[in-house]
Amino acid sequence: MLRRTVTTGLAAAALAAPLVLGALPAAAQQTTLRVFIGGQQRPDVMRPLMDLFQQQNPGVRVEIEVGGATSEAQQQYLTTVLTSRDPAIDVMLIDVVRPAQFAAAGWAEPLDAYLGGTDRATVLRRYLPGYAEAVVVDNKLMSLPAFADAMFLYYRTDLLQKYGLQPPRTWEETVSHARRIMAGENNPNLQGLNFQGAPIEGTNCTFLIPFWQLGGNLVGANNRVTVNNDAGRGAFQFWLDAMRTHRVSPANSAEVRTDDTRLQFQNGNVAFAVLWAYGWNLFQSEQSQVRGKVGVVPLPTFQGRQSATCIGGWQWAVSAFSRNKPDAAKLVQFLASGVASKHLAINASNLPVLPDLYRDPDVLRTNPWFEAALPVVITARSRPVSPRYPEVSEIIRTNVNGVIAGTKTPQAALTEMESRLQRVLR
Amino acid sequence: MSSKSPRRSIGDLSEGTLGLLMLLPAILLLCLIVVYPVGRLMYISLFDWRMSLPNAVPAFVGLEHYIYALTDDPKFWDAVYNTVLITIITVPGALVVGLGLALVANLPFKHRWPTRLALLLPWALPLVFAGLIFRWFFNYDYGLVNDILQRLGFGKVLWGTDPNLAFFTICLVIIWKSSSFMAMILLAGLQTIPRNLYEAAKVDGATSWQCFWKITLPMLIPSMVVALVFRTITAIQTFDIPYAMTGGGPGGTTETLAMYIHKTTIDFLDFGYGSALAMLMFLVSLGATTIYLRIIQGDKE
Amino acid sequence: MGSVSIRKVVKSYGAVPVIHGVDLEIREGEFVVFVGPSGCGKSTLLRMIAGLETITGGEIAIDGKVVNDLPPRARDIAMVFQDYALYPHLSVRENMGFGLKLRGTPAPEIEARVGDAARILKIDHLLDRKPRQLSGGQRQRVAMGRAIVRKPKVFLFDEPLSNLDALLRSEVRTEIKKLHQHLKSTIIFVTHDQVEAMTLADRIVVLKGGHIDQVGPPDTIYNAPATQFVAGFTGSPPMNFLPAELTDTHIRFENGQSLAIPDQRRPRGLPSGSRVVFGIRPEHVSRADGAAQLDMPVTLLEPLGSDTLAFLSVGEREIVGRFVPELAPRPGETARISIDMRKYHLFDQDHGRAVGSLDG
Repeated sequence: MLRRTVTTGLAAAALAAPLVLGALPAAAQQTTLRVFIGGQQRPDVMRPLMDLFQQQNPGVRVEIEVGGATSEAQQQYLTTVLTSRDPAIDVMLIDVVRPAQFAAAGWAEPLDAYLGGTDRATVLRRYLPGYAEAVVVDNKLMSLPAFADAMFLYYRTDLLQKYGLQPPRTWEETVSHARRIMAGENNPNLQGLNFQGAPIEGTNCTFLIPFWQLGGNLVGANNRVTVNNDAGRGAFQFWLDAMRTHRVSPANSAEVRTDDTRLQFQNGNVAFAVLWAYGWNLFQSEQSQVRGKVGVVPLPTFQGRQSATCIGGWQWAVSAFSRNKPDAAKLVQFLASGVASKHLAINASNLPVLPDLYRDPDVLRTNPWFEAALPVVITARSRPVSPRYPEVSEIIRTNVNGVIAGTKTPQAALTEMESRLQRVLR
Repeated sequence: MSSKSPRRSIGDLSEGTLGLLMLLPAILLLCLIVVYPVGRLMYISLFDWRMSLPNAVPAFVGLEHYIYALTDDPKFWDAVYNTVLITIITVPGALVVGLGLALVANLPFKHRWPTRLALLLPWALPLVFAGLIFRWFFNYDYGLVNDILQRLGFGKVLWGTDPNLAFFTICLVIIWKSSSFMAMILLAGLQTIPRNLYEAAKVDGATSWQCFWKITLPMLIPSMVVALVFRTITAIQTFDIPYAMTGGGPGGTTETLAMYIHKTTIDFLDFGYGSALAMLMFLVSLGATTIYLRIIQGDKE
Repeated sequence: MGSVSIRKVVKSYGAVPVIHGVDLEIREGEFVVFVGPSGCGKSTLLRMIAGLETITGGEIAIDGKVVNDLPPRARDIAMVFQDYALYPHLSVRENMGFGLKLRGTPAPEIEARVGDAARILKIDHLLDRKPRQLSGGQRQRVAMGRAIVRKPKVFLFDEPLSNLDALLRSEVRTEIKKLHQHLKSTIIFVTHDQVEAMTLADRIVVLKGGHIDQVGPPDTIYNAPATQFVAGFTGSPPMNFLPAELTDTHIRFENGQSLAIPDQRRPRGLPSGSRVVFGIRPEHVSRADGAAQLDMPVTLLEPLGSDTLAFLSVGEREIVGRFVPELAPRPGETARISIDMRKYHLFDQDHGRAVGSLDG
């Protein structure tokens, strides 16, 4: 209840702000804010939020620049803009893995000075703890949370019902369910369990999830990288078995990118899929073949192990080279508000960054599974945090991709990962 | 010009001085677009220069990057190996296919433009588009190639997962894409061969096959060398097609030197090491060009 | 050596006929020159003999064997092209030996035959050069050498002298003639230059618009042209023509002037009053005293050194006379000029055919 009040208070403050600014003579001038949003992050759903902000802030116009679909493509574009200190972009939506790098490179403007007197701790208290932590680097507020994300297990309710199966809690169950369904359906195009193995950012999670569940910890005591161990071997073995022994995962898993999983599932070719939250909204859309036949549960774990999933999500940051930082900071605070988070939850099935919204009846009407997702998001784990994250990511994903493709043995991949990660993370 | 020395008009300059003067704009332009960037690249390659830490002072490291690349970086050698393999497969491959296309386009059809348009199309297509189109062609689930194979009763082939097949498809696309460039240069060469040489050879007793080997091929050598120089240099710089088709996968087995440089500089923002790698690639291209130029010069003597 | 028979040969490009049925027998060892203006079909005919153009109708036989469907390599002919068509990437030696090598002739024999040909043509010091290092005349010899070493049944020359300057042309012309006497081979030579035709040929074939106008030895072509075209094509300057009317005793020109016909040269088969074209060569227009004389105004003189050409008016028409310089009339005067009526020709006004059987 207290949290709700805070949220409402922020919304009120946001509404009040233009009145304060409106009194200033400078407000008569037209400011244009350019917001960079990746193509897969639903810029179409973001647009009404920008319109709302424009209404509340006469004199400010917000333009959306749509970026590439994948996190890497967006990163490459932003890198070019930011290393050349181009002021063209004021606000950007960045992946949860990026703030450390943006802070080290000095690309994001610290937002502490723009909180209008409110202290940082008060602002951050409203958010899910994992996301509140992720936005602070070296004791500076580098960004504000936009929406949360995590990997879930999507399943086909119709298929489970047909074979009298319950949603799986363990990987062992998942595999046996998948085998049962595949045997029963006898459809060569039906995949039991689809996951991402292409050399992309999301593939890091493909490795880290079973690795964590088996007790692995990428960076141990004294900053030592510990990946060449039983947990590492177990993680690889699980996916290799799923593909080769149980044959529930497709043979071309090394080519599967995030949106390939979404498309295959949406086209009705997949019984179980490991995927981020954004899939839900699309699976329930008109053009989906599986509309009304989709269930979501937290990711399974191994028998007798703790569950774990990969934390995802996106943050709003202000470019250090923006010429309109106060306005940009104001926009960012608006976009990180409860109003915005609720809008995104309903219209894009983006997981809210504010815990209250997981119990909001409007939100739950479109995303009934959010209630169960809250504990998952709270316990989801971060990928390694480093200003050299792009290198970390490349080391992991290339090796995972090699193992999934069969060009590398798990042992060779783990050895290489450990030695190369050690050099980058030291 | 009120100085006492007699005024000199341009006409008074010696031929050498005048020549130099007239070359000056070209020399300046060349300095601006070639010498400066290469010099700058070499300079940066001697520093530990990371754009991810723009406020840190770049430390001078001398030849450390070069030594690391050549002695201690297996990824560099993998990338070099892949690049060399792509070069020695696709350059002769494109030459042979391109020669065939050029010969077809040079046939005395009534309407030559359809053949020539067909020749031009792959060349006019941007590299990345070509890569993306063929990525779909060879897609495991939706691809045209696997669909045809299945209709013919064969199983689906893992074009993007098997490293040899992935490499093969990349080479195939590069050959497809670049053979039209080859063909255009060779077609221009073919058209400069006087028709009466063939008539003379026929009267001398040559069959069509002998005409090809004894007249067409030797007369095409200058065009072929030009085409090979250009193609080799672009092959050494191969980037777009593997980037779009496999992204370097599976497991980095199709990553070229240019992709590794791109990754190092653009993804990792490690400009110092990236510049050193780029310098190495520049030297390889320079070496290849020198060899070709030697061949041409040797032929002239 | 070989004979060549051309029987009712027709060539058309699509619907456009360019050779309209040509008949010709070329004997073994004969030097035959095809001559005519450009577009007359002479080169096309030569290329049909070579096998470089298909034959639309009729047949061509070499040494009695019909070659219509044989490729050039099976016809045992050699050809010298107008621009020589030397292989630029091969040395002179390789150019000359190319045909022999293709036929699998042993290397020592190639060497010997190339050497012989090079000596005959005086190019033995150039054997290791590339064509681009040679002058025009040298290239021409190499092209001939390439033909000679093959020892073919028939040599075909397609305007081989037209790219040479005037001096070199007459020099090479002489050499070709010597070469023919030395080799005694059948040669078919195409040119548009009547001097080449006259000097080289055993027999001249005059072509016009895809037809043969006349075939014969040079003196026949010159002295007894079968048509006004042949008459106008040979000689320099060519024969003069004046439209005229035939009377019982005279030839009367348009301006009323007339010439008496000597009894022994009276045209046969032409009735009085026939309209004809009177032809006379410039060398038969003189100042010598003769039976037939006309008064003609002199419009212009062209001194050539050995002779002087005078342009003379006959009414609205003009004729040219060739005079010994000392006897040339002066421009402006009206001179009394003799016409050698033993040498005149008459042609049909409509078809240009020689009429009156003056040479029969």
